[in-house]
Amino acid sequence: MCQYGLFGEGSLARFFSIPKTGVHIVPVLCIGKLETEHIVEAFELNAQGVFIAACGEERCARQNTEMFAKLKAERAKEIIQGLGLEPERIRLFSGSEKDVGKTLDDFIEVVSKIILKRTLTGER
Amino acid sequence: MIVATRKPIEEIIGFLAPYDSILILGCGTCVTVCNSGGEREVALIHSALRVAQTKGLLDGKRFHEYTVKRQCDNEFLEAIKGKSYEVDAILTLACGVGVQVLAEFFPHVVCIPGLNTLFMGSSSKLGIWDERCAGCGDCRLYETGGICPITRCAKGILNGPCGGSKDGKCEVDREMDCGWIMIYERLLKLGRVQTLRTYVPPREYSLKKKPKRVMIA
Repeated sequence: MCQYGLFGEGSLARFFSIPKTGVHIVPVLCIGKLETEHIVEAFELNAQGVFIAACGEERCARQNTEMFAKLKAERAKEIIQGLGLEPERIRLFSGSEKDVGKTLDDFIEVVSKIILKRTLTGER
Repeated sequence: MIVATRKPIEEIIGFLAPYDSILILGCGTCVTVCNSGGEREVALIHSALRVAQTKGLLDGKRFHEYTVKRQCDNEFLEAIKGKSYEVDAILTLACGVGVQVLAEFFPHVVCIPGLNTLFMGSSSKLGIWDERCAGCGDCRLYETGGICPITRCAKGILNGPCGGSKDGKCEVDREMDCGWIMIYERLLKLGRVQTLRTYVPPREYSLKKKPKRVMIA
């Protein structure tokens, strides 16, 4: 997430002021600077899912950042799918500060279900 | 420039299965610009292969990464000459030319293409690449106002437009502009529309030798 926008001053900063188990925050200079390899690398480092929180086009000082992030996220989804992982493990969020916490909780639930299913079926 | 796309990761994994030590080699020229085979893509493929290892695929394999300025020139390949003896295979993220030059340069190493080379083209907007040149060896761009009928027309006809053009769009794909309408409009702007009255005879493809070779001193 952007270190100036959602993380720096927004609601996520408040949201994460209480440590949440299993969630690791990676602030970036701007969401538009996120690269596909950053997302894939997270899985290499044993992440079970990657939630990309964009500040939203209206709020961002730069142009087309969300579009860049969307392109990178789609590319990463295609790669992880080729590796046998579910594309739902990557989610790009862009919207108001009010909804970010709720969307993240929903994402964590989706990823947890995927992990549970894999554990039950014995898949790696 | 040459435009290429990355092969599906599952296909790449399949290629790599018989080898233990693999060098992922990027190319810093055309394929870097079209986000397919540069330093970043090398890092991306390397990372994806390591994720594959965590899933039990490609167990025990060692990966190395490197990007040369250009893979289609021998002098740039000198930089990895020492490395080639340490690896069983090179996964090359270069165009088809780069893969072949690499294979000739390192006859003792297996060279695996990581990209599908598509065409010579340019970027029309962010992330979109369009074919512009077929390398046919008989350039007609003067007569057609700088718009190539071979690549811009779906049928590659030399005396267009065909009967399928409607509202400036091609009958093969209604989203695509008709190349010959573009040629006409361009020549109209240049005041050279009379050029189109000249009949262009069909090409004699049987006289074209392959592979092509040229000597430029």
